Amino acid sequence: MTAYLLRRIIQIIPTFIGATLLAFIIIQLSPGDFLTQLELDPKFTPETIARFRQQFGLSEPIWLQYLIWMKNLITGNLGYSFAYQAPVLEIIWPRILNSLVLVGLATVFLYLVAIPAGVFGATRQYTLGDQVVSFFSYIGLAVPSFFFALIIIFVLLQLKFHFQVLPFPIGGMTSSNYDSLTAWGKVGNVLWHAVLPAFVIVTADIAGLARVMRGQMLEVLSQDFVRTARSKGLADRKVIYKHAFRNAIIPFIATIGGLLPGLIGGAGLVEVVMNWPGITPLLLDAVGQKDIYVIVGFLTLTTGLLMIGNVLGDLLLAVVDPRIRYN
Amino acid sequence: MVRSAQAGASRSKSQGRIVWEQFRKHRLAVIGAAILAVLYLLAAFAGFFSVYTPDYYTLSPSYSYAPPTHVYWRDPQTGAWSRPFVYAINRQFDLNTLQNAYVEDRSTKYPIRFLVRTPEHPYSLFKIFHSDLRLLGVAAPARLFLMGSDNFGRDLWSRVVYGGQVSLTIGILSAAISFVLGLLLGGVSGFYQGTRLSLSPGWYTWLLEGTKGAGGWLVMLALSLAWGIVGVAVVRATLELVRLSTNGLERVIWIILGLLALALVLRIVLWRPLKIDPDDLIMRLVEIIGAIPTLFLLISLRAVFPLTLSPLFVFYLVVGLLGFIGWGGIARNIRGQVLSLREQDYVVAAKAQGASDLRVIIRHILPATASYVIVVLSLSIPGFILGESGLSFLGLGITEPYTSWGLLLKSAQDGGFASFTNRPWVLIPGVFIFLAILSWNFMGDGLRDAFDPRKRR
Repeated sequence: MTAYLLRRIIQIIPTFIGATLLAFIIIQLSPGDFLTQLELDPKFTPETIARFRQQFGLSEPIWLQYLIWMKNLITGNLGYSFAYQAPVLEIIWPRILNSLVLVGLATVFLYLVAIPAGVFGATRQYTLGDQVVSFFSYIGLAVPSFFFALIIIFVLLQLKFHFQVLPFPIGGMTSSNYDSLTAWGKVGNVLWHAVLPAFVIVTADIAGLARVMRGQMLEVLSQDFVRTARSKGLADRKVIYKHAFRNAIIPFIATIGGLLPGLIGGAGLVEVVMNWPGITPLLLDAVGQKDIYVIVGFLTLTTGLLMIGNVLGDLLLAVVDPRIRYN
Repeated sequence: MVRSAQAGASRSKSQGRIVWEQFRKHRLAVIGAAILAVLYLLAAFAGFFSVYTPDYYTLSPSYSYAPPTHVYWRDPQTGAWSRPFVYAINRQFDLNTLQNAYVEDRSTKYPIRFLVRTPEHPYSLFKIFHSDLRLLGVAAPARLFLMGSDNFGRDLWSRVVYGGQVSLTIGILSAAISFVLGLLLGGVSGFYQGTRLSLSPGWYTWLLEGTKGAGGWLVMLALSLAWGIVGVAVVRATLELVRLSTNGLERVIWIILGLLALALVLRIVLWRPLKIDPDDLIMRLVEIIGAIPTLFLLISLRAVFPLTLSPLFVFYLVVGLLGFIGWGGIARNIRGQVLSLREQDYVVAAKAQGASDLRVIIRHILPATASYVIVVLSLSIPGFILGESGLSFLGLGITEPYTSWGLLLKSAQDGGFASFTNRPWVLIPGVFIFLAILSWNFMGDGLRDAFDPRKRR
């Protein structure tokens, strides 16, 4: 297992370097840099701007900028944000944590809802209950996350206007009295704000995975060993949960790695609608201001986190499935 | 012999016919196809189905955020049935709510007329035919806002219909682009997997091999020249980095790395050639693109181009970007299919008979992937529609004067949270996105089941 883990980590490195190189090339392709905007500002003389450019290393050729950036990355330095006048890591790390709160909660919802829904549908195939679950899966798959978020905000506001109740906050991450709360109160406050956005983010994935789970369950339920278990008189519940479920769940675990890029992206649109101070709102600002090291920093860190997530998914799969032994 | 073959043909069904019959038995797929037919018809004949041109508005009187027009079938006073009619509306400032409200002027009835000519608002169909015939219309000063109006007072229904042109075509065009890329790169990857191409000369190994023609020498010299340039670049990069280094340790590390790189270049030029499997190259590229979160890649790629561009160029840009993002998964699947197909007996037989690679690919391999391509194509289109609407929603996609469903939702959200509580109709474009995606999903599912022999009903 250790050897497998090491091999997986070594495999990641070229892809990671390739991804950062791609990100860097994309950013450098765009015309102008952060200082181009200052050129129009009469407060800055061309000499000052040239000095800045020298100072930030923007006058060097692109490949050299990349190598210097890579060298700094190894020492944990992601560069300097022009717009915020601060190290990139300081600015983007809190944002990434905020997004991870959403994505983490969304993943919990995903498993809590999709797995039971799939099993429910499979064990009651073609009944009314199954059809209701299928119906909602189709709906969930087709609603764009940002549209869903707008509808939820609309419903909340209507509740507020007509009944003067607000079960969940409409946007943002913390209440106005956040600073006066206890530590646990703070955690609860953030989670309370995160429930709706996380639910919106994960609706489509819940719908998709519930269908996958249903299909898996149906396939396993039609296999010989399930028939054997049934014919020797095992209780239905035992057959489903001890025999079929444990086999059907295995491919499910492997899919989580593939879902993460979509989850983080889907979170982005919802963050914008629901005012969640996550990655995407800041990324959009940085794109507008050509704050290149912030953009590349985001791309690098999220890509790195995704890859780690993938490796963890593989490891989990190896732990759960005794048939898989990586040697 | 010929007779029996013909008799057999009349009894057995062709693949296309079986698929069609299976598809028709899939109730949801038929519903999806019907909804899509309506949506695409609306978009194609947008001029005919819209009530006004999408950018038509008046400043005085202004109809900013007018609610959907109430269509009457009965006279409000007498209760008598009549043909549908509307009243003209006037904007009034409500002193209680401090907001604009629209009040009907009940003095004159304006019947809704069908198939009206609107010479002041002509339109063109497919940019070829010019017309001014519209399905619905009312006489001025009454206005017919089937779904209300936007902040300028433009008719939302007309904008939705025209927005459908953009949203629905982008889905298909982007899917087509990513399919061409995916088929091409996935096909090459699968078909040539295992044939390693030499990317560097490797003089020693080459000289030990047998016959050498003039062409061989030329290729070797060209490759040597190219790698010579790489070698010079490595030396220059090392010197530059040493110059920029701040301490001695760093300098030593850069020198060691530079020497290692140089040694590697010398080795592949002089000793053993660097051989690369095209399959490896393409699949690594797919991995790299797939490793970056999709939305962030899309935003960064969009940032390569200035935000203010000609609207038509932005349209093609969005198509291209979505297509570029989407090909990886398709290429990976096609590669898998081709890998197994090229080992099939009939492909091996064709190769043994001396068929060229191109012929094998076009005649034997591509047709076998056709059903898969149709299914995945129809299942991938909703994703592209979603991608376009998301990008436009963030303000990075389609720009005015064009409109798309995502852009319409963006303008719904622009006024802040409170803005759409008083005017819920601005959310209607989202329903159209939802319908289009839902129907494409139905269609895709139906096609998948229809092509799958195990799911025959």
